[in-house]
Amino acid sequence: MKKFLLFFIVPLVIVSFAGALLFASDKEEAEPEAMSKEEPVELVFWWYGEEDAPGLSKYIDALCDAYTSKNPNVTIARSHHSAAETVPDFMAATEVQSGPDIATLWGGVTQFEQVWLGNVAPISDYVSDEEMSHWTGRSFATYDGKVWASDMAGNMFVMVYYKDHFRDAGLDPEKPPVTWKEFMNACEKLKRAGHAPFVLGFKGWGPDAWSFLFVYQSMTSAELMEMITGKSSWTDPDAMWSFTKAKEMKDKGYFHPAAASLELGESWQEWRAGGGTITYLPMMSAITWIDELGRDKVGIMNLPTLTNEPIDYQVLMPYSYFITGWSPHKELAADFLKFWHSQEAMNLMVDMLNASFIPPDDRLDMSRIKDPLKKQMAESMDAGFKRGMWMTSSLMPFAVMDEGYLPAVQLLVAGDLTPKEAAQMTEDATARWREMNPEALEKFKIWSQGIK
Amino acid sequence: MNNNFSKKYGPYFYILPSMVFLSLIFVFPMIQNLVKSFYRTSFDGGKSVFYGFNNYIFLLTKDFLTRAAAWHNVKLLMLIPMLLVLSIFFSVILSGKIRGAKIYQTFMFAPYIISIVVVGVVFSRMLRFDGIINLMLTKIGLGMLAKDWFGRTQYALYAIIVVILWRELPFGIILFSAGIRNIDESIYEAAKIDGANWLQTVFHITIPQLKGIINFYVIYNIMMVFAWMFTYVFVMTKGGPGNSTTILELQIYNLAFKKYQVGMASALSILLFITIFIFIYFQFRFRTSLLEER
Repeated sequence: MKKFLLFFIVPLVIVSFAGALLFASDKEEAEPEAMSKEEPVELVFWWYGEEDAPGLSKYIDALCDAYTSKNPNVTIARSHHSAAETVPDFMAATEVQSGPDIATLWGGVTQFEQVWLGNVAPISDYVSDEEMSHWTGRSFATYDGKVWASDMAGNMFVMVYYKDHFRDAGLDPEKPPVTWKEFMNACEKLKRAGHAPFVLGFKGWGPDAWSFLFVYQSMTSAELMEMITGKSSWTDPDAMWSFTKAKEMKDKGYFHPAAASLELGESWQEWRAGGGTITYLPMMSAITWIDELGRDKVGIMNLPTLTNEPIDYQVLMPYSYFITGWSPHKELAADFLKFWHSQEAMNLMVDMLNASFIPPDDRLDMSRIKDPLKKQMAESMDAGFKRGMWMTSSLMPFAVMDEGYLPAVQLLVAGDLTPKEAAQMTEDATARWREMNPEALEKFKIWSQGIK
Repeated sequence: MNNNFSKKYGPYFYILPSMVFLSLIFVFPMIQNLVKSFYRTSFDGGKSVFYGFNNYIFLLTKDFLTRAAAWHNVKLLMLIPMLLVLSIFFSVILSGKIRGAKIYQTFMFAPYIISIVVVGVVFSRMLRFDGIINLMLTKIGLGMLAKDWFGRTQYALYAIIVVILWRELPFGIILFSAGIRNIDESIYEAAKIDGANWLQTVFHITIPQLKGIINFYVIYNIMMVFAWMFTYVFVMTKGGPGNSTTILELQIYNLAFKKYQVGMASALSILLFITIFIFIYFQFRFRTSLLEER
């Protein structure tokens, strides 16, 4: 046994240890490969979105084929990653510093954490300022004077309601509530008529969607970022709205009875099955389901305003694509991302995806979208990009969401916390993130300076 | 000399390929994980910064979420006696001479062949506040027992335990049924002649004869509780509501893949490994002392 230990186990452990130490050392920059235009190149392209926009894969194929037809020496190996796989798969790639040349993550802080970790190359090193000046999501993808991503499209939410439920409750289906007070009155009437007024699942990431309804009514994206950096607090009266309104809705019984145990996706399906009157849907699902259920049966409304100012904007999360830090084909990858903003590629997207995905580019020919409903949504998304209203989860580090906002709202809806306690829980999680991530905080502050 | 050398060292060379393979897929990642646990990834370019024992200190003293997750894993340990008792109970019943025992066995094994993800999705729907379980409770006049099982912090973890019990029990039943079939029939006959009743037979023959399997099953379940619960929790609650069902595996996943704290995730996985090791070590010690007593 001693010999066995001496001759085999000990050397193996030593070799493993040495190897592990080697792997723990800092990553090395990949040398860019110099290549001629004729040399065959394979770009590895990781993408996400088929779940959000069924049929997107066909567009991706057409996009890649169109690029290859113009650049015959380039082949594009595409690989779809589901919502659950996108971040873990990219993290695995960062560990070995290999994998995709072009990858995707949700735009905003999720992608910028990878920038700060050194896993992303700036696209602005390879694409001209003139070209990028047309990219309407550019400012959100800018950090330290460089642009780090190109947005394929944006994810946006739309508030929808059943017109026949409104009729049942004695409400005018063509005049949905505008103010919060009107919204609460409508909820009361719908409840009395036997309908669950508002269907939104709070399990998992549900509270994130809830936050869009209120957080931005009292603050801009920049002001929300100030709560992360510590300049202001979640317990400030204006920041408390998303908690106090959740409490009000819960106490009055306006949420779906299973709200606390429904996932966001489940709640949308529940609404689709007629299990409630009003919900808050992603644009792609809204477009599909409104057509499926009948445009005469489903109405679209603005978010109920807490002030007297009507809400004429939507909050967005960009689908950001970027060049990986280790890619040996950075210039080519940038050229491919630039191609997405060509008139040919943008027209292809609008036509193939039936305008359910809109490229954020001011050169987009809106006249191609004939359907008034889709045009309305496309213009709303375009306005969102130009105005710079970003989803809460695009601005809040995961730790703040995971340890703060999400559980706080869940506990509030479950009846275990008061709004004040929920706000304090989020504030504590934010303070912990600041303490644990001093470098990220400094980078976050720099990034926030460019956000409106 | 040559002959002597090959006799002495020959066997080691035979096992060398498997040892190299094992070290590649097990020892190397383990050690790499250990090394990583002493580093933290800096958001300043992704550099690995030596951090000493700080990851461990933070996890053990400051991180309330890890403490909560550990406590939830401890609560899940209640699954072990429940699974053990119910598995033995059902396998004893099914091993008796009852009509259609094979059909019952087949039905009882069915949950185990269903994917955990499918089980999770189905039970998530069934245990919703407006789900079929509450509907049935209300229909039979037990409406006061209808709860928001996955929506309230008080019930969520226990609801998960019930689902795990339903899914994992068949494995125990099959295991113990096979064990019971291997017990020498003559022992039961001798006991019958001595006038032992059914209960005495179970407690004085069946259970003692199953000691080896019980030992294996307990160890298997310890590992299950600490290391194989992720899918159940991820599918059914994602750790909510309000972190009330967060477990250590989910915490490792979140630290590594969502919060980019790979060093801390590595440290927590090392702590989890040590915890499982301690539990199994004491289980072995306990079993050895029992055997020595015999």
